[in-house]
Amino acid sequence: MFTAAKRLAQTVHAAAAVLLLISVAINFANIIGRYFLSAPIEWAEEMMLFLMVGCVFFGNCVVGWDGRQIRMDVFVQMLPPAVRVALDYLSECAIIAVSLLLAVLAWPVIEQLYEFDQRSQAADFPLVYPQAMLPLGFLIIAILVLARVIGRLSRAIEIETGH
Amino acid sequence: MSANFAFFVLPVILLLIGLPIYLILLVSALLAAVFVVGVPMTTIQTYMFASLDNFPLLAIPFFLLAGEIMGQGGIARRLIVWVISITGSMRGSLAVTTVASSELFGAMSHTAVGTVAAVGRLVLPALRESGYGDRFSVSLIASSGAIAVVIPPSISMILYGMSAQQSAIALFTAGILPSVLIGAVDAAYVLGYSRLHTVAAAEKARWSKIWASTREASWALGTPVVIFGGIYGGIFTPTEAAGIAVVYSFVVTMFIYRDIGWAELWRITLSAAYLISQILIIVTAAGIYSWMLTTSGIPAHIVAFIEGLQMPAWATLLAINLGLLLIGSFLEPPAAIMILTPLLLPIAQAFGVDPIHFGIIMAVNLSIGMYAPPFGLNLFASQAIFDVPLGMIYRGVIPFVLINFATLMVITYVPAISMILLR
Repeated sequence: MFTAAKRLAQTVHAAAAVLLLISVAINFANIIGRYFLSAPIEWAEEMMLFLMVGCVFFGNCVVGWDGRQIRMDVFVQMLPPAVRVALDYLSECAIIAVSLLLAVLAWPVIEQLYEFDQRSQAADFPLVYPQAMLPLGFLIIAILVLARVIGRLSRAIEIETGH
Repeated sequence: MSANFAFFVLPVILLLIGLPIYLILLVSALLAAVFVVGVPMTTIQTYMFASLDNFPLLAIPFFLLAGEIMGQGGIARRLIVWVISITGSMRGSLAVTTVASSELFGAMSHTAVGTVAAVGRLVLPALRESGYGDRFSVSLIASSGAIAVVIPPSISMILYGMSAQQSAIALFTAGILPSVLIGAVDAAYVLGYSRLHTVAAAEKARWSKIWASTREASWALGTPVVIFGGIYGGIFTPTEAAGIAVVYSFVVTMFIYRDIGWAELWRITLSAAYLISQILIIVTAAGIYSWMLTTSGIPAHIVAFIEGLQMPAWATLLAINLGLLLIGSFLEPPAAIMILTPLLLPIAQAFGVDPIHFGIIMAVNLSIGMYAPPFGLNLFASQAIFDVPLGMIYRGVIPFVLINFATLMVITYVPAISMILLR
């Protein structure tokens, strides 16, 4: 399970990087079009924003997998190790719960966007795809953090029982 | 559930127990949506998406990627070596070089910790050799690196511009003179320190050395020309300038200097995507928190309360600055700006402070928070990078905190320093 989760994390990390690179390429092509060919790409800004949304939400899954989100942990570091571990678990459970809740809350919106085939103004791109990046990202981060929690727990049990 | 609990008490408790900042904002916003504001929960998705669906924000990923390529490739090193080579043999010139290099690299890397790492690794051995103690040297590097928060085109200003609905270019322009002032004050202090402590003068600058380093850095020096010339020349938007900076640094690093290969470039892109997510997920969560906060009417109540105290404007600004300094030493600038701008800007405006000027005050203040003891992030980064005791850095940064707080007061009470270039 841990290996599968690690592969999933690597895949979404690579996806985030690819989306970033595509965004750079569109931006550059748009600049060339605008300033040298007098033909800007009308859909460039919209698509770059959609790609950024994907990059952020996919990237956040890897950050969550590594447990490297920006936090203020100075006070936590002063606490006894057992309390620190308990707070770590609490934090991870909160990530899983909130992520799943947000994924569920997003579902009706995604369904509606799909049903009515709502599209972006300039790119005429189906809005369901960029909007779906949010619940998808939340779902993946919930799975990855859950896998990490289970991994940590089973390691702790192994140490405890000596197996 | 009271609004104060949802918006202030709960976030502080969750912050203290070490939950990720974006999660704290989401939990607080979700509870406020149900118990305080009473909005349909399906709107959460729409507003979260809208928080990122903002064109000026696009400059952030591009600037961060460009900064990563420059920092991990050879552009940063060549720029810093060039600055070192042109400083003369004057006593204290090496310390001044540290300040100047941080300003130059901070303007391109946009991350305070990145500036500390890039500049510090190159100048610390030379500072030690010249007789500066570790306490002074590491503190100088930690405090100078924080200029990345202020010096345009800074990410803090882009975020403030988005939150306060102000022009990013106007904020960049307003930030030029304050950045120069901070650099000049720091430089004056380190020169005075060097003379007082009779630090050895640096090796005399030689034309041959300057010429060699200038030739070596000529392509690297093109980077600030592309960024600043593009934005201030009115040629590019900040997003376009950031995109050009990525392509320029990529071409120079890979094909001219040949410092990195494709594998390294992929690693840098992965690292940039990671950094972008860490920052922009907070922006997403802060967007919905700010929306709930504004919808609840709390900022208007706070403004009315503070106006009711009938404090003079200078005292209110001083209180805001002290509060920001305290919060800035706990929170990173992007989070602090996204959370506090909707609360503090109406107060500042009620006392006649221009929103652009207030953005500069916030950025300068939060930059000091980056190295203000006990929790400034640059302090921990410096301890980790340079392997010196934290207590030593705490003692060393105090003079920098004091002189930069004095500079902040000047920037706060003399609006012309920020606003004159906009006229």
